[in-house]
Amino acid sequence: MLEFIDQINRAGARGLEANDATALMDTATRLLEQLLPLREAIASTESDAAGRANQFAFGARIPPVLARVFASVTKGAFMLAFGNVEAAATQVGSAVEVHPEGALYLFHGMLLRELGQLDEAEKTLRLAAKTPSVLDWRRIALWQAAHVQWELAGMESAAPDPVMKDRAVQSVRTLAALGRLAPQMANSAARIAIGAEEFDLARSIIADWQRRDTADPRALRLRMLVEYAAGAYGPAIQAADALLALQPDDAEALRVKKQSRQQLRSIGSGHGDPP
Amino acid sequence: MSDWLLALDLLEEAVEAGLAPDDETYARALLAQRTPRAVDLLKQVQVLNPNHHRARDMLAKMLLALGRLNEARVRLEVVAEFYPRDVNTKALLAVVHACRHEVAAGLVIIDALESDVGPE
Repeated sequence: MLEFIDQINRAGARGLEANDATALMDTATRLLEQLLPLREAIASTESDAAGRANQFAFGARIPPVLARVFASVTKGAFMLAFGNVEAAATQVGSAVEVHPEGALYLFHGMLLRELGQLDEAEKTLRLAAKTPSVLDWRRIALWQAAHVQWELAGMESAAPDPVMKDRAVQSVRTLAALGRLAPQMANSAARIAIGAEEFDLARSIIADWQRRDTADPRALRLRMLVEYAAGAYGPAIQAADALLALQPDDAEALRVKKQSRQQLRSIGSGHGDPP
Repeated sequence: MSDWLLALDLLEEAVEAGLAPDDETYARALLAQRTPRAVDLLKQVQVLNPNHHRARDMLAKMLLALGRLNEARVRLEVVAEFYPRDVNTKALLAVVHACRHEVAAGLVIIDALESDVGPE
């Protein structure tokens, strides 16, 4: 079971399955399934250890309030398995009300997001990111929070929300400081940073990724995009070339390379446009 | 009525009937509606009676369940000092280690437990 907890922690730390509430609930259910036999196993030794009063009563002495929490989470998992996200969110919401724990806030936030209740999801995911948790899933919580905040910021809309934009950047900044982000996580975190014109933040995320995997085309693409957006056309062409070496027909790389060259020519002739 | 609900009713009756201050606080912790409240009450029990083993044990479980792993580890290590043959405490300590990415340390504890009480 210890290895199982470690696996779950590591999976969470890598951000695997992180964008999927059903997968996370499934993980939680599997964890509970692992914990319950342990409880039974220890409780079963009670009868064999009559001489050791009060020493083996894990099963008998699980706190009642926690038993209610387990019941709610288990019900939530069943509801989710049957596709009833709203009922699952209600169950997990009542569990987290009783037991404010980081992973439960995360489940609840993801379910609220799935229901389209973005304001509530954002509040809940912020709590998930700062509340202690049995499982080391802070990266996922920050990542999820950043996504919802970015969505609420509405940067493509007529009236973007600067507060949500700042929150999204802050979430990404905190996430980047934790380091070792999974590619999927680094990819979207860097895209948020680029969208917010926080180019150095994006660069630090991409650099951390490229230190661990020099040839991932997704990292090369982001490198190309951030340099182009920042107006560093030379490095943008360099990154485009590296990407084209892996994917010779990549339309985006060809376009960025062409536009970067045009920009450099314009700058050379004194008519450069800002990116 | 389930045994569980009956137990909670009996706890309430016991509180109403009157208990020693440490046991009353412990009973109120068991009846708490939220885990942070239960933690506060269990800490109060420790002040009233530092040797209240069940309260200390329950507090460690609560802290673990709340993800307050450092606090849980410290408390469990103290319990393990006082009760070196307490399997429950050792098992929980191993779980805390696993949650803290210290699986090897957890396995050392489990191996020692198995040599003490035998494998599952």
